[in-house]
Amino acid sequence: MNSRNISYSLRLFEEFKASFLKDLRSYFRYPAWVIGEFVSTPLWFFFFALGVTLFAPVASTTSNVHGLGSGLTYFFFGFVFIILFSTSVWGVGQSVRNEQTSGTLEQFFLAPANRATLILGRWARIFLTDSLIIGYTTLLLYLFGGTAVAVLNPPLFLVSLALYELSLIGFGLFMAGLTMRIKAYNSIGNMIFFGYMILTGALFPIAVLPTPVRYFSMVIPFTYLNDVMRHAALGTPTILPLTLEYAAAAVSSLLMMAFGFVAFNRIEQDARVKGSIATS
Amino acid sequence: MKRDVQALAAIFWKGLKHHIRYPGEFVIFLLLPFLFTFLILGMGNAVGGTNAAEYFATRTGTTNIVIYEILGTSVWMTSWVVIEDVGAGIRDEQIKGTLEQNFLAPVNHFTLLIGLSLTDIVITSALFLIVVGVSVAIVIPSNFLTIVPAFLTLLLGLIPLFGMGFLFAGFVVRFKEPYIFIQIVNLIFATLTGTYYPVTFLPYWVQFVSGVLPQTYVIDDMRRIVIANQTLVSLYGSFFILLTLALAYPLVGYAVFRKIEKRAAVTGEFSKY
Amino acid sequence: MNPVEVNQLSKTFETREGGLFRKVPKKVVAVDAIDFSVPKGEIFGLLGPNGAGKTTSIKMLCTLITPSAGDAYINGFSIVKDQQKVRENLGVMLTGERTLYWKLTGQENLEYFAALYHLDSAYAKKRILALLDLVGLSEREDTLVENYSTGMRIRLSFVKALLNEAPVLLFDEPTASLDPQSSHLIRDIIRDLKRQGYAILLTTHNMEEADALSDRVAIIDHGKIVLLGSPSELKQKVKSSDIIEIEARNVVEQTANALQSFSEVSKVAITSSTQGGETQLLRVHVEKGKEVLPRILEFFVRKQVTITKVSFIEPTLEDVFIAETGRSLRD
Repeated sequence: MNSRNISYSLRLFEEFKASFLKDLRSYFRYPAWVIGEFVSTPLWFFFFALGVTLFAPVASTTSNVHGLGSGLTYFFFGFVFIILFSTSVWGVGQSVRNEQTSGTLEQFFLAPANRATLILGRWARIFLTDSLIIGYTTLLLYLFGGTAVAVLNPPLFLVSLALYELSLIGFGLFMAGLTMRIKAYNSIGNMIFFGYMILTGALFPIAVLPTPVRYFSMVIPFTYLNDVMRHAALGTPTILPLTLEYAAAAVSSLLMMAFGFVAFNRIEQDARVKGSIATS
Repeated sequence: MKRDVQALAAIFWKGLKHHIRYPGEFVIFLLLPFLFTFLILGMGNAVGGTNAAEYFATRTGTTNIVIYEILGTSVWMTSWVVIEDVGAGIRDEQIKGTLEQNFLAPVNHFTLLIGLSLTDIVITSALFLIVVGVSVAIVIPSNFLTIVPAFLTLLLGLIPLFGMGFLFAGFVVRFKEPYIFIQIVNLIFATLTGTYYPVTFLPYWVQFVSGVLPQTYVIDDMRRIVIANQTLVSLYGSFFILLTLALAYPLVGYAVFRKIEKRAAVTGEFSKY
Repeated sequence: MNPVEVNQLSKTFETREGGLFRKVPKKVVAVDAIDFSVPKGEIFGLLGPNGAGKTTSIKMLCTLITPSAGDAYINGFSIVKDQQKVRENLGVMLTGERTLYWKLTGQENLEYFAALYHLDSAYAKKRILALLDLVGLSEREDTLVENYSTGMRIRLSFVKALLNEAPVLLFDEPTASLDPQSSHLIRDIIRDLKRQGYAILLTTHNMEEADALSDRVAIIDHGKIVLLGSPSELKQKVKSSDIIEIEARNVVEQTANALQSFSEVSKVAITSSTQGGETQLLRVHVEKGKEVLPRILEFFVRKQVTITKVSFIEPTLEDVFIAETGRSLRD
């Protein structure tokens, strides 16, 4: 091993760091996008919150959500879940499509770098910027909504968040592979995104859904991931007994990670056979 | 005039061929109004419980929640498509590298702007008819024929939206990043124009701003026509306002676009990626 | 084993063509069992018309496309079985200016790729500065690539391929879109790399460049290598013929082809035309050119073709291709 090459043990980290820095620099050099994300995220929340107040008891504009706690904080966490989930579908998932369109995907695949580091670097940047946006929205909610958002059980919340992020990385890898396969990614991405919002208890409890649909929700891993995070934040009761639900969340996170890596690899190999890595 | 129509037709067919190759976009547009409506219904039921419809009726005057929300959402989606396509169509061509080629051709730029978005708008309007038609046919079949005057209201409302699109096209030429900007603007419009709730829900000073947006009248009129069975004639007041907006917005929007375009020709903005 | 060994490499693409509801499967043979090798210190040119299979061949060698059959070895590593090792032993420049991150500076782009090629950061910094200086970009290292000219982007792309000092270099049209001065610089660098012992494979449309730079050239047509040898060897094949270059106006394909009715004329090809197709350049391969020329000119006059220039020229690689296929390289 000569001194001009990084040692094997550090290679993955250096690839990840390079990918993260590349993404971070590019992101902040599009000030319109930065400002846009910071402005539009609270706007979406406000827009839906206003619409929902039509259904609240006439005497008050907010209410308990299905007996589960304050409407605003309930929905706020719903929006946190949506922001996090959009990382998979639009952030990580579309990163490959963006690289393909700009012509840089082939350059990445030419290099002897681990494919996952491209995805992980993007994920890390989005995690950082999403955290800033969520923090900022929390502040706005306090200043203009008079609602202080607090997490009841921080350690459990962090564990839930870690499981959630693992799932997002895995699912994001799968979505990233999908963009190499399917040109009409936007349509599929939208369907998956809406499916997530309606079926996984992100914005309202799955108890509100018709029974057959509810059973379908219960086989979606993100239903439990949302549920355990909300439980840790707000103390809401869980769909399944707590330990079982955490076990389900943990197992599904690991399975999604594995599935994501395998799917991405298979799709990449297929793209090589078809010669479609560069096709946008 | 004949050459401009020819050019418009050419641009229209180019766009149509593109859409036929990517039919997924049609499907998503068909589904989005329903998806947004299901979302708000789910959230509403979570908050209002078994009395959710009653609380809704107290505030809106109707228990026909599904049609009420689908009309609002459909107009919002259509408005989004019009503004984005006219506004961002130029940016799309810029990214593809074909904008300069388009501008080199001896085609009136007004025609080009309209043409770049015409296919999407025609398709979106047709899909709107399908979405609203299917919903009304299922929920209030007795009012099915009201979708005709409702659609005419939408068509009138499209004209000022074109004008807004020209305005954004100008900003896009200057600032380059249209989509996030248009997303924010469309969100603000959705909030101000009564997509999910009556405009009277908003503070008075906000309602004043809502009053200059064409979508406000389109959504409200459509709800009155389809749900309350009112006639076009009875809504002459808001039609007059819509007509005025249909004159004002395109004039102002195109004037702003031309000004920015002239400046862009000096600074070389069109070539800049 | 040579740094580049290609054995019966083939690629067939399967596509589906047709309308929205009736798509018919179709197979396209892009590369058909090509064989060649590139030793150390050689520049090997791959020349051919558009769609001949040059880029597909390069992309297979750099593992972006999986071959349908055959194999190739880069520094002893199989492109099918040892893809990661192949990438470590290759420096690649693909054609086009859209291969860089436009929102990063020139230096940041190279730093990023240096990390992907596992270069130590301290070493990479020095290497990057040296490479930017080599192509005259050191004063623009902190400028965003979106503000570079096309030539600057291509030069940056070129040095990106040299970052990891890989023993094998692949250049896909390295001087396309460059002005003469920059093209000259790139060619000098390529010659210098050859002297340093790199094995270099380059594709080009530019016959003069292939002729001047390459030690050996493979001419590829419809996915097959039709000719392989040094430029001088290949040109020897057409030495026995005279080559007449005729610049004329209003020559149609049928008129040019009708020239082949002359028994002394072996091949005719229209090699270029001006915009609008008003003026064409024809190359006529003919025995005893001086004797046949008056009859050829008379033929054109009868066909109402206006001739503006006639000259006897030395054969080029274009003529080699015409002699082999009957078509111009630009077809």
